[in-house]
Amino acid sequence: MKIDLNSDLGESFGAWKMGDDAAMLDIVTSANIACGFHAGDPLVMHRTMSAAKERGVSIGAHPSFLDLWGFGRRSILGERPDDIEKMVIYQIGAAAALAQTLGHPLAHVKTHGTLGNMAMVDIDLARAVARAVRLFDRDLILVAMPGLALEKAGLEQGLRVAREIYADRTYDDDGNLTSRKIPGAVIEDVAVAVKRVLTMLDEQAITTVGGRTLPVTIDTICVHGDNAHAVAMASTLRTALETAGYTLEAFSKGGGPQN
Amino acid sequence: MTLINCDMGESFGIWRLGDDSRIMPAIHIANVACGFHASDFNHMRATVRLAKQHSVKVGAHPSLPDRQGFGRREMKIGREELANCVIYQIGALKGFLEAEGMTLHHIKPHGSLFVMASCDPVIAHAICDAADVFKVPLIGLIETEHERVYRERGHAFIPEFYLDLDYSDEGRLIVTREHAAVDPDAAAERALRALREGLVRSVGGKDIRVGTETMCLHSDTPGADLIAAAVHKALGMDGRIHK
Repeated sequence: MKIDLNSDLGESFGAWKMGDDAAMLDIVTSANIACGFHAGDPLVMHRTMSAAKERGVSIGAHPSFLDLWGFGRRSILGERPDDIEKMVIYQIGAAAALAQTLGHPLAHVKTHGTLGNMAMVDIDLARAVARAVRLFDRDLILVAMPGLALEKAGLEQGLRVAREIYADRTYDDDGNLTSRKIPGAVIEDVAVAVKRVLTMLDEQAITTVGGRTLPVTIDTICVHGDNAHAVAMASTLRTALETAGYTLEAFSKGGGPQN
Repeated sequence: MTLINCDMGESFGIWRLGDDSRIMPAIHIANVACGFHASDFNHMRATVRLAKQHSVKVGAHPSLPDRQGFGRREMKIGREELANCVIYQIGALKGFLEAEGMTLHHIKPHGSLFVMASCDPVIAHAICDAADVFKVPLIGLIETEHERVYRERGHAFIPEFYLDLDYSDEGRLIVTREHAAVDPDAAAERALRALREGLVRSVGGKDIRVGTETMCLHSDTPGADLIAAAVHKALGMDGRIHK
C-alpha cells in the first residue's frame, strides 16, 4: 500500500525564517511550495525546490490570496472568480518556471490558507482554481479534500485529483475541517493523531466529530512543520505508517491518482 | 557616558525577528522600524509600548522601500521622493508615539539608506529635508556626509559607534544581508577602546576614528542580548553608562 505525506514549505520571506524545511523534507514525499503571495520569494522558492529535488521530494505550487502581511489567512471577500483564476495561473507559472530550471518539474497544485478554505465550500471559486490549473497544465494534479467543492471542480475540469486528509485536525459532518477556534479542533497529542490517521486509512473513511463515517479515497496526508512539536508529529506518523506496512511515495509517482 | 541604541520592532506579520523583549531592558534608545524594511502597524504599536514600559526613548528607523531585501540593498532614488518616503514612515511612527503620550527622540536611517547617506550628500540632504519636518536629532557617523550635511543643515547630530558591524579601511560601515554572531567580550572590548580612544580597527587593520555618543547593536545579530549585557558590564565598570 502506498501513501503520500505532504507539507506546506518554503514559507520564509526575505530576512524572515519560518519552519524547519530541512527536517520536513526528510519526512514528506510531496512539498507544497509557497509562491510569494502569502510567503516565499524567488530565492526562498528556489532554495526550497532545490532542497526538495536533492531529497527526491515531489513539489507542487501552493497559491494563495495576495496577502503577505496576513500570511494568506485573512478572508478576502468579493474577488471575482475570473480574477482568482489569473491570480492562481500567475503563481503556478512562477513556481513552474523555477521548477523547470531546476529540472524538477511541478507535479501538483494545492491552494493555501483562506483561498483553500474558500475553495472547499465555494464552487465558483473552486472552479476558478481548477480552471487555472487546467489552462496552465492539465497534467498537474489538484490536491483537494474529498467530498468538497474543489474536488468536484477538479473532476469537472478533467484533472486528476489527489484526496487529502489532515493528520492533526478534526472533521465536521460535511467532511470539512472544524474551525480552529473550537477547542480540540487541532489535535496536539501525537499518539491520538497517528491512531486517527491509521484508522482513516484502514477504513478509507473520515470520522467526524458528530460520529459519522464518510467513505473517501485517501491519496495524501497533510502534516505541518511550523514548530518542533509539529515536526515530531510528522516524523512519528511517518514511522508508524511504515511500521503498518505502507510505502511512502509521492502521489505524483507511478501514474498518480487515477480518480 | 554613552547610550546603547538598537534597531527594534523588525518582525513582520506572522514572521518574528529579534528578541525584543529580552533586548529592550538592556538599551537606552530604540530605533523602531517603520514598515518599509520590516514591521507593520501591529508590531510598531507593540514595540512602542514595550519601549515605554522599559523607559526606552524611541527614534524612527526609516528605510528604503525594500521589504524583501530588508532595506539592505542599495537603490537609486531621487532626493524629493526619498524625502517623501522618509517623512511618510516617520509620520506613521509618530502616530503610535502620540497614542502612548511619547515624543520622537531621533531619526536614524536604516541599512543601505544609512550607508548611502554617509557617502552621498544628496541622500544626506534628503534625510535632512525629512528631519526639517520633525526637528529631532539625527544619528550618524563622524567624518562622513552624515556629520557634514546634518550639521550644515542645522540638525543636532549624535555620533554613533557600531558594536556588531565591521568598518572598511575607508571608515565606512560594512552592511551585510545577514548579521554574523559577534563574541560579546570582543564587542565589549571594542566598545571600551572606542570610548577611551575614539578608535576602532577596520577589517584591513587600520584605525578608524569613531564617535561614541551612542553605540548600536542589531536585534537580529545572534545573541544580541548577551552583547548588550557584556557591553553594559564593561562600560559600567568604566563608570560611563547609566540607565
